[in-house]
Amino acid sequence: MVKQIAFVVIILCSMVYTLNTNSMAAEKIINIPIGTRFEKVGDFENLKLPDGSRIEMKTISIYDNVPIRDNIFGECEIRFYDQTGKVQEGKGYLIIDPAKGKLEGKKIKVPFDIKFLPSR
Amino acid sequence: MNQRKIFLGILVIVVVFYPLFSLRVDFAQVPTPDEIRKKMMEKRPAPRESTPPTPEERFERERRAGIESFYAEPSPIEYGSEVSLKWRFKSPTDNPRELTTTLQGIQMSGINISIGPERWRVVSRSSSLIEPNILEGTYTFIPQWRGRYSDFRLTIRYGDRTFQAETRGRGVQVNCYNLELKIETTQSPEPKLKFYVENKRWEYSAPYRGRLKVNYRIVSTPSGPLNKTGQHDFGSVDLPPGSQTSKIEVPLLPKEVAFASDEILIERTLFWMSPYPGEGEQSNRMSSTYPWTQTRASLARPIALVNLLLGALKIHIHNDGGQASYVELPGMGRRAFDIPEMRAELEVWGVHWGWYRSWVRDINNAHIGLDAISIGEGGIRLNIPIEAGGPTEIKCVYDPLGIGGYTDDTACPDVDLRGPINVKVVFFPTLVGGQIGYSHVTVDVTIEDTTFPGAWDWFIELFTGDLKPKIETETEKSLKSLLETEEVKNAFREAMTRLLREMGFNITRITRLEVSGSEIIFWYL
Repeated sequence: MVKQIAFVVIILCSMVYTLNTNSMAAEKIINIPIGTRFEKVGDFENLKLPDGSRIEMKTISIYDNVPIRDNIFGECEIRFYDQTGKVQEGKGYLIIDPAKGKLEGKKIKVPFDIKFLPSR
Repeated sequence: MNQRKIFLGILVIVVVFYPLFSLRVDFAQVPTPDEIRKKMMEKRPAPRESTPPTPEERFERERRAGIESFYAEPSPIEYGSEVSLKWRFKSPTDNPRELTTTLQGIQMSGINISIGPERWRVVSRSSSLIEPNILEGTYTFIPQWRGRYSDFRLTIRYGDRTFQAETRGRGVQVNCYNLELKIETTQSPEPKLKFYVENKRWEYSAPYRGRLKVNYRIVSTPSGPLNKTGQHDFGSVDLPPGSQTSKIEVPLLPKEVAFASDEILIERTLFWMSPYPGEGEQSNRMSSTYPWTQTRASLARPIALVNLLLGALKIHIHNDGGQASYVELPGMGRRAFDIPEMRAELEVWGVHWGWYRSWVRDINNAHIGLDAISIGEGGIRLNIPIEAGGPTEIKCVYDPLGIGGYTDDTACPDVDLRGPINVKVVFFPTLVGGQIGYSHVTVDVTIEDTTFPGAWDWFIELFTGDLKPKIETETEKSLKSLLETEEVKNAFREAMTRLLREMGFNITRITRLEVSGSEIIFWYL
């Protein structure tokens, strides 16, 4: 009985630890409207988000001249700083939604989302 | 006693009855001046030995001197005949030959002084002394006028005295024929002319006896192929007033030539023989135009044009897989055309990423029914129905390289045209060679509905501003180009001609047309 209670306690403690240390990946979707400007600092493209958090993107690769299937057009490395300044690193995928594009002359400018997947 | 009584009786009888038997009752008419003159000529006494009149006799003669009569005879006469002016003058002297007698400017002494308002030809003139103091004169002439003339004046001067007389109501009336060359035109069933000469009645009518001849020339006016000349000799005719010669017919065939112009010009010359001495053959040349009578008709719904021509019209808008769009009238022409695809560059985060390409396909006209034809907007209107069923009409793909080859067909939705696509053609009618043709057409292609469910906003915006006007413009241009070819125009004219013929119109040439409201009004020969 004692063993069983101890097992449950250990599990619960592990979960609390995991949550507190963000050791489990938390996916984030960051909307980038049309016309958003990034600040380039060194190898990073920095962007402040409206909620006070910010992201730094590095080693951006665009899937040029590839099918638009799945609407993923590129990927990058991301550092995500929350409001408290706590940082998470991970990978970002750039996802477009052509249906939300806007016509400017003969160009369609499309907003995109950054799907941020923190690494452990 | 008895013997005395008998004697007295006889005496009474003789005294009473002799005057009764000696009375002469004469109901004859009052002799004319001419008869009087003749009678006086017959009874003309031998010239008396002139014994100088006494001063009293001379005074009395001079007091009674004057023109006793002055008249024309006979009257009326026919043109070309003679008439005489006659007068009788009682002279104040026994030697009236000393007198100067003037008849309206013509001195009887033989000196022609002037020509009055009328003309004549003198035949003879004479004067003779009937009695020592009576002078009778005759002036015979042939009047060269027609109608009545009464204003002859006679003036006789003696010394310082002037004697004058006028014919007044006893002038001369000259009757004359009044020939007129008449023309009748006939259009149906065949165009022809009829000539005849009428001796028209008028105030001074007279018969015509003599030869008649007509020369004529009939031509199109102001220009055209008709040019017909001829002549006809009526021979010697006798035309009482009001009568006419037989009619001569001049057919104007073929009628396409006769009706080639709206009017014909007829130049004709009438020849006749004048009875006036010396005038001989006379002629009168006339020239006048005769418009053909045009029949007015109207056409409200030339629906047969559909069966005869326009129903075969095909519109195929399809620029897919290298195929071309076209408009076609089988047997008359085909216009292939391309509607350039719509292309938009996809840019993400300031980076070019690929191309959206879009093109039109599978737009076809539906069956053109009889109700597609109407009159309006100043012409013959054809509303071509377009079917927009079947596959989606606006194809959309994503092309990463923009050069074809690999494309992503699922990257963007196709668009289905649901709403009406109106194709309206208006043929503006005009006359071409006497047939109803058209000068030009206007073509209006309109894709009415652009609210495509499921389509992206930017795609609709791009379609409305790019591909849609291209479809409309290119189709309009090609359809207009096809319909304005000579082949189609000729076919249209032939179809209209056949249509009108089948409707029962017997038309050689249409002369005028106009579009009024929902009708075509035309005039034809």
